[in-house]
Amino acid sequence: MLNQLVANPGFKKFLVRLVIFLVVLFAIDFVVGNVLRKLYFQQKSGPDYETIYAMEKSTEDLMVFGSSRARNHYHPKAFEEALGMSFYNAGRNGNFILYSNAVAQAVLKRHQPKIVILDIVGHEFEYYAPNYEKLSVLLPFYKTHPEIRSTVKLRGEFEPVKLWFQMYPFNSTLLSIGLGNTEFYNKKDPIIKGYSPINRELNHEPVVDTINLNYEIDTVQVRSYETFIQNCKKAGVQLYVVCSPYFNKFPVRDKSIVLAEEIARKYDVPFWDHSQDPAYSGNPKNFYDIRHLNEPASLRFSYMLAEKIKSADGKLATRP
Amino acid sequence: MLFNSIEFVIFFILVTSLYFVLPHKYRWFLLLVASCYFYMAFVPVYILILFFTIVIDYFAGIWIEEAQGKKKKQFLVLSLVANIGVLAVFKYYNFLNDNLTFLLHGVGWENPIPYLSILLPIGLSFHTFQAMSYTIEVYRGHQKAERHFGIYSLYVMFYPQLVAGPIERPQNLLFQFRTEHKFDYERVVSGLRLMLWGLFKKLVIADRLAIYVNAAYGNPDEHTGITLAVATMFFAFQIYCDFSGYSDIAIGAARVMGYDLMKNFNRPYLSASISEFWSRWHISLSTWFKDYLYISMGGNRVPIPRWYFNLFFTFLISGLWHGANWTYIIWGALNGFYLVFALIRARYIDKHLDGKVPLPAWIKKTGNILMTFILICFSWIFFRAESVQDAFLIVKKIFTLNGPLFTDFTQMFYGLIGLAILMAREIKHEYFKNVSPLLEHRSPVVRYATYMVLIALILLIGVFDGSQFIYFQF
Repeated sequence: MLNQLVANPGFKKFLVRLVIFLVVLFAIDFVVGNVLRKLYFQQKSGPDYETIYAMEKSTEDLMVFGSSRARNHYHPKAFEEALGMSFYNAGRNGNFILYSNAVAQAVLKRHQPKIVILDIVGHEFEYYAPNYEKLSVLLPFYKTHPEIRSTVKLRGEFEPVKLWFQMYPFNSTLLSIGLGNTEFYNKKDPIIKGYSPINRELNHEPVVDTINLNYEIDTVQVRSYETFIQNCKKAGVQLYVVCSPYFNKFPVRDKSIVLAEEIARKYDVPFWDHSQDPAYSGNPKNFYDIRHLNEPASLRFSYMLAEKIKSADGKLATRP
Repeated sequence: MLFNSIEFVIFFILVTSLYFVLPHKYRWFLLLVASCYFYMAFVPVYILILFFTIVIDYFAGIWIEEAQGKKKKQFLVLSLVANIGVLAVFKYYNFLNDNLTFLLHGVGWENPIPYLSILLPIGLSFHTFQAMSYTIEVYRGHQKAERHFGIYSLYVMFYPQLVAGPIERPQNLLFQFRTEHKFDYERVVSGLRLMLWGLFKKLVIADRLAIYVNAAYGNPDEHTGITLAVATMFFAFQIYCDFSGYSDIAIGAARVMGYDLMKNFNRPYLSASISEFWSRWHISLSTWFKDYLYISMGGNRVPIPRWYFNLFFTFLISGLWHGANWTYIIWGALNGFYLVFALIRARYIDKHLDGKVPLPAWIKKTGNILMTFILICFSWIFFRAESVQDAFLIVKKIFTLNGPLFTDFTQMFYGLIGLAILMAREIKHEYFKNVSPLLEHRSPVVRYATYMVLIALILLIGVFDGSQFIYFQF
């Protein structure tokens, strides 16, 4: 039967055309992929630019890691003034501990900040499939940063196969590459050393947040948090884990926050839970939405935190 | 195993290569084993349900053929009861129990019947309907009973169309398993091309639009009427590209091996009436209901009120086929109502208007296409909403249209690129039949360039989150 197949002129024609097709495909993929790589890494503004800066260029003494809450809550002015240190906020919207851990690994490989603050959120360790999808922002770094590969592979066992294509790392980045090569993002929302100031206030009262209190803990994310702590310790970085304020009230202390505190204690890392800090929480004037402080409140919060870091007794404090 | 996964690419290459290497007499066995593996990649144990219906229908087919008189009908009933029984237990039991609980609560009673903690087997409604069409066709004398158990099993389990159709008729598919299919260059290339186009529709359009749709429909309280209206329109294209993308990959994969599956979609959103839409949308299901339910009830060869009832009832059942939820039933009823209303309008209103509206034909046609699209979009609200309450909230918000549009610029930008390509192809195929389509262009340069652009777009703006096809849940 194999002989019949090989003798079939249609099959021969198919094989020849398939080879031509694959050669053309990989040639185009190589060229387009490399053009996109060049354009990606020469961006001047935007979220991708900030990740590139954090991973490849940051040399600051104090760095903040976390999600949009990190990005909105840690004001460079306060830390620079109170601690006299250079500051960079490496928080990224919609990304949590898996992303923070990967970026921190890239940073620690070439630079040791004196202080690192890791902002964790309520439900930080909840299993949520999109947390893995969002690791796509690390794909452009897969080729040049071997330390983040294990994190990228969490997206799926076939991720390395997809990465045979040079274009794939730039999936869904065409628009941001285009805009990031201009000053568009800086003009739209000025960013100060990774910090994003928002000046709005809420106009409603807080409620008790009872959404999904008994969620499933994702051990992969817990392990990633533990690795983050271990890496900082190994690099001799002074690490602080902080849960910054929320607007709404929690009926019970969040499972992830409790677990994060237990693990931090195990490693003798200061853990400060300000999630229900009465100086901020519940007051609509401090928030621009229910999860994010506005600029004036974030500045006060940052000064408070900087002072706490400065004070000797802050080192092993737990709750505010 | 999802068509939009690397696992499937590997599976497809392996199975197809082996298929052409093996002598014809062993191919049915290869395809059967591959189909079992394909199905078991979802929830392995559910293959036992398939096996149960296959055994019943295999013997029912033979008994129906051999029996005379009333016995013939009894064996058909046995087969239908077994198939519908499986559907009733796995798909409708908890829904019926829910409604019973609601009714009993109304009179202050507790419902003593327990709920079943089971997952719906993937594609159950599809392969059950395909199996039923076999015994019905044998009963009607249109198909000889299949004596080869392996080939009959393959008819139900043929992997390209196992979990989401097209729902084939035995006359179209069974004989193909006995025909030897030699490697045919044109067929192979045409099948692969169709698979590429299906993958483009799924990854670039459907899954991209889904991001906006899920955000809006997942939380309708928080979104404005204009956002929900845009999300509804996006859903219309999401479900079309998701399902027709699946069908294209299924038909393409079968075509590569030499099998012809029936066409399932024919540019439905260019329909100028609801009845035309239903002759272009999910054709294999529409014709199933027409052949086995609507016509069995008398079709249109009955008094007019009964005809309207037949039509409405068929669509009501079609809604229920899609899912055990009142949202699907309302969706089916709404489409039934549209069709009955169109018949009434044609009978009592349109004949008085014929030639009296001085509009060019193309304007009338465009207006009808737009009106049909709007009506279909309205019905999709009930199909997509997570509950009836949500659906009515969305309808209310859309009709008030207050507040700003939620603009997820990135998702909309990429989604609209895909939609523009889709519409250009659909319009070309519908209205410019003489123009050579880019994917099938005579010039190899143009053809290859089109393949490259599609692959580049899949890699650059496709969504690789491994999301399921919507119709798998049915």
